[in-house]
Amino acid sequence: MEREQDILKELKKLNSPLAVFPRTMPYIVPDAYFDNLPTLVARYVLADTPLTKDMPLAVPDGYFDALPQQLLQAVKNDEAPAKEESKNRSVWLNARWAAAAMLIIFIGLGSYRILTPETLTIQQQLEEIPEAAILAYVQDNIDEFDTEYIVNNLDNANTIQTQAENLNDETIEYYLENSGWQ
Amino acid sequence: MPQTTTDTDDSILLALFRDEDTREAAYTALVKKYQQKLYWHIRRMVVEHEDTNDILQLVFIKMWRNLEDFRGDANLYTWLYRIATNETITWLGKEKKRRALPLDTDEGLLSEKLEAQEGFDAKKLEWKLQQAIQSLPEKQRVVFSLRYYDEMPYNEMAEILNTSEGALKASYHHAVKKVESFIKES
Repeated sequence: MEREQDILKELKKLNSPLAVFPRTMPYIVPDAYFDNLPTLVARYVLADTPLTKDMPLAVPDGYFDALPQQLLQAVKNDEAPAKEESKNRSVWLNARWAAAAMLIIFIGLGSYRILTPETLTIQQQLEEIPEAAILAYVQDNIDEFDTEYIVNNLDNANTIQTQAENLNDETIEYYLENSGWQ
Repeated sequence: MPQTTTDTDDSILLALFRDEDTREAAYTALVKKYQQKLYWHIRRMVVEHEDTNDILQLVFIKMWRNLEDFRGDANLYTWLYRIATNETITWLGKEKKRRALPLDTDEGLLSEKLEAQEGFDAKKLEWKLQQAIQSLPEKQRVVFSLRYYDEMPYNEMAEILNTSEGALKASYHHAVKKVESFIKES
């Protein structure tokens, strides 16, 4: 009551008509909302938070005794991550070379089909693709997703060469026709 | 006359909350005690009931998680108002982002919601007043709401909003003038 008087006094001092305005809220609240909210919130927090502080998850016997020793060992053998990194790098390099090789076939054939006379065979066309053009294409058009796709598809092929050899002229021509390269 | 649960002193409820056996009952009593004040404080800022309900539940969940560590050197009710205010401002920011509105304006966002409210009548003074409040900048709206509706003293507002009493007084007086001129012009 005292607080209300303070507010009204302040508004009157400011000559504000707000002092006589109705302060009722015109918004509608769903029926029984305030009756149900405490139960609803309590149910939620009780389900979310266990009342006991005991941890329900078990830790293997001697885990904490062995942990410092294990960590120390891991720190000493810090070459292990390097080996892992080197392995990853090698996979990555292979993937990049695989991507480049695949693209040599497709792009090279496409451009040479257009630029060179019909008399050249597919193999001849492939041989004449400049390396710089291939590298530029790979750089502009290949991302990690493509690389991953290519690597996954190389599982059954021993080398890039054997995979490329398996492609016959008919297949390559069919690809060029249907992919808009020709 | 015996005291009802909602009249129970905060310090007693806090002590009951710290005891695991009475925690749930104390928590429910605190929700009952503050739900309406906090509900209206939030609703005046966000307008819609559903949004208010979401924010209010979040406030009470935070209360459950942090009340045990609450220190008695602050007033429980200003602490709750601070959580409610911060949650509301955060929610408004997310809403503006979601609707790709500039962060420094609520223009359109709340007036649309206000006009969509059941029973809205732009000719009625109480609705005009709500429109005027929604036209205020966010922080000024909080200040106006705490002072005009919650009748909160400036020192408590300063605790909630982490601002000086002088700045809050000036902000409130500006807000009053803006609300008046909005109503006069409409």
